[in-house]
Amino acid sequence: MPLKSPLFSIEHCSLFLVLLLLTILTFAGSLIVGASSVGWKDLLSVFVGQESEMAHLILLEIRLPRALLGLMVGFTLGLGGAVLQGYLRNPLAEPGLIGVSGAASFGAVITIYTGAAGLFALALPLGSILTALFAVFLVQLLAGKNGGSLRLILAGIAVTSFASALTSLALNMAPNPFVSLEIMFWLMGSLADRSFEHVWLVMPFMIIGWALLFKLGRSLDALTLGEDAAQTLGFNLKHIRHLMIIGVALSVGAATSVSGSIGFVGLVVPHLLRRWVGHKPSALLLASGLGGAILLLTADIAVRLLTTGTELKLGVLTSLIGAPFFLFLIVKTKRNTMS
Amino acid sequence: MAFSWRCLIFLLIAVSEIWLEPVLAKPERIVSINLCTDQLLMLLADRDRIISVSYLATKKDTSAMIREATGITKNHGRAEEIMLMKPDLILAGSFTSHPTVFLLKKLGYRIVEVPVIRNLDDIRQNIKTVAEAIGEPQRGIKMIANFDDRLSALQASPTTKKPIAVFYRENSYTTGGHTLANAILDTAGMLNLAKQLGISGSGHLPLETLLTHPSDILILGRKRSQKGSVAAAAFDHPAFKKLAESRLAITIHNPYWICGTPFVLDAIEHLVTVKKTWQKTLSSR
Amino acid sequence: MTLLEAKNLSVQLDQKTILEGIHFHLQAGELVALIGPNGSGKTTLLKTLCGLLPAQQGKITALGTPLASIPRQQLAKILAYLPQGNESHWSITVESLVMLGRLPHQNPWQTPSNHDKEIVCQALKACDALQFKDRPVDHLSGGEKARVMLARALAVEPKILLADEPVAGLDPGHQLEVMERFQQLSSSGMGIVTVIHDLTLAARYCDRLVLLYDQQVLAEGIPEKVLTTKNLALSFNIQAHIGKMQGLPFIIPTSVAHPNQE
Repeated sequence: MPLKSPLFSIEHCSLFLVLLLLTILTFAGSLIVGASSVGWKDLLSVFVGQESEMAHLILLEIRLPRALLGLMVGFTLGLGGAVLQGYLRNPLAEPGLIGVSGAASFGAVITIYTGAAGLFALALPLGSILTALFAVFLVQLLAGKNGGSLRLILAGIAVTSFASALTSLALNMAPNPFVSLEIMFWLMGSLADRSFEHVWLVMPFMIIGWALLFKLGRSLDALTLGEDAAQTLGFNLKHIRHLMIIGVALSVGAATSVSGSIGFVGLVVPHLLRRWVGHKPSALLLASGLGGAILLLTADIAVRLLTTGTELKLGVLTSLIGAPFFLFLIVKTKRNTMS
Repeated sequence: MAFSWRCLIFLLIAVSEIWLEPVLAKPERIVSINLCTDQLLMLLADRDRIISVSYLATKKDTSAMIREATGITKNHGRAEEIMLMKPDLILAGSFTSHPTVFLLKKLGYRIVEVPVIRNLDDIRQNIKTVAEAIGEPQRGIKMIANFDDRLSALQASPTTKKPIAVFYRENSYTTGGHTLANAILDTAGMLNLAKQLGISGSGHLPLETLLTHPSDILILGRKRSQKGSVAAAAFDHPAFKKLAESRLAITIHNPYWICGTPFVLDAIEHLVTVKKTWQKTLSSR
Repeated sequence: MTLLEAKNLSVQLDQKTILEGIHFHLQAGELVALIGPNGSGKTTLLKTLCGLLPAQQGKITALGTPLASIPRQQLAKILAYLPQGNESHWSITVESLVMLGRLPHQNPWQTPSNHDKEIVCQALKACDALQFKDRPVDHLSGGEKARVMLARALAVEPKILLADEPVAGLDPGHQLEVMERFQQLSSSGMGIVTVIHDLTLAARYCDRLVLLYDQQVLAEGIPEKVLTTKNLALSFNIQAHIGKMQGLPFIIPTSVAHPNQE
């Protein structure tokens, strides 16, 4: 740990520059990688307007929405993770903790189970978002009036377990093996073949969610001193909790509804970047959002490069990398507290 | 809202496509991204019009047409690789990855989705759908006629006493009513224990239930490895082994049971012979 | 000027009465010590006075206005609360931690102004913490941390400071420094209430003591009036030697009082 980490300095600026640059690079990378040989040359020709019709379709209708969703979903997960960790003052918190991801997954599974997902393209994400919002309403009810965070976590865990039980029930009762297969594949998380309709659907939810979460920056800083001190610094705990829950529900719910559940991004990214912003919760928000976008775009490029045939699922890859990293974090945390 | 308008237009296009189908030119570049449509396509279309079938078409666990599928380009059902094949018709199952199907539709490709079947009548319907989609309605009619002939021949055998059969697969899974497997049993003149127990679709059949209910024929799922997996552990259970000794146990050829194709008749034929063996042992006792 | 006033205050937590019929007031320029045995409700009173806990009965006014009708953000500009335990959940730098004290004065999205930085610098200086302003908080010793937390509270520039055991864990030198700092601040007009266990320090520096015992105020007034052998025996259950040395009062607990004295 560097002894000197001033807050508003060149060091911070350079961190954001690096993150921004990597975001642009991975975004561009996501555009030039795919099953076909359409690559960077075709991408350049799109800018001059001389691309072939096929390249145009592949780049603008298949890869661009995928890259955009990778960016948005990754940003959401990174930001959500930073907010949750800041709010709970716990470096092991992640955006799914308050039940949103579990509920969104269940909502999606129900649309597949009932066949509604086949009716029109947005049936699945819509069903998923609505379920997530309903779950958050439930969590709010369960968490009680007086803004404490412990009951919120417990309520989140209760909703998550219930949603996952219902998801298993749907799998269990699946009318034919094809339904259960599609449900299982969806649960593994993927961005393959999403279209602009998905982008337009989730964008408003995400942007409102992000705005609410960014508004929390100062409150999260104040919470560094504990809930009592934060209150006497003029912050309303109930208000903070409402903002946090609704912001996470909108953004993370929308993210899960298009991508399925993608684990560990929201946990690992804030953790990795915290020291680079001097551990300040408000400064971590944007950094973690960008970090999440970079990580998810990279993972989404990797699933396309690593497997040529059946695509490795994105959620599987992030968990494959994330789980050992999580273990590493636990070991490290333990060592730190012991020393 | 703009979305619902889009959906409406979507639906209109889909509907008008069905109406216009006979008028459309015969598709020359057909791609199938579903195991079941793969097989119907290979049965109905000329080889030179088939651009690609799914990678499952050459897997021996699932496909009844491995020989026919070798040599045809395989796909993994991803929009980008399918676009590059420049298809003029795409055949998909109704539970093929939804985003991919919607994206391809949006990009203007003609997609015909074939539903999952639950009875033999669905097979006729699916043959008809695919035959008309690929512009070979006559071949479809012929295939359905053949199917019906063979079917009635199989059903002609007199049924004296129906044996009770039960599916018992890895992880104690069984298959109940409203499934293709049940329809096959029914047509072959057998009763399905799982259906009698009220199971619809696939379900769990505890070993105890299996032991305490009368059954004549055990239909086992194909064993995957010689030494078995945890999933197949129930097959090694002493109680099960004892039961299997006193029952007629058969193992089925999976590919005939998965898709609604005329291969289903082979499965029925197999069961009819099994039934005859059972009746013989019954009378010899 | 009366900064803070509570009349007939009763507080219950989980149906258990913690405080009953408390009268309390704090004038500008006053340094008041809240003393009393463990569990006598000192922290509860402090939290109720700054609006963190609801009072079941009674009325609290701050600067003449009912506490409940002052918006939190407004209150935060005039009242600073220094909780017990000095917790900082993230290892931010000392300077940015103290800067948190400026939050009530900043607009959302505003970065700290030069004025804010100047005040933070002064607060750090006042608490003898300027030399480690760039260190992460969790690299500090207990005493250093306590001083940094006090600096955070001072950075609010409050009219009222409520401090819960600010000198716990400090070495004698720094204890004296903090108390002297309090004295200085109160003489410049700030009203300070501090919970303190060191009776000698309380007697020496505070203008007024409030002794809590058995949910009520047992005694209140200038140190000499409150710190009597009788009061100490009753509330703390101790026999104590109370004396003066070179004009400075001291209290030495000598033995545990006999219970039958009640």
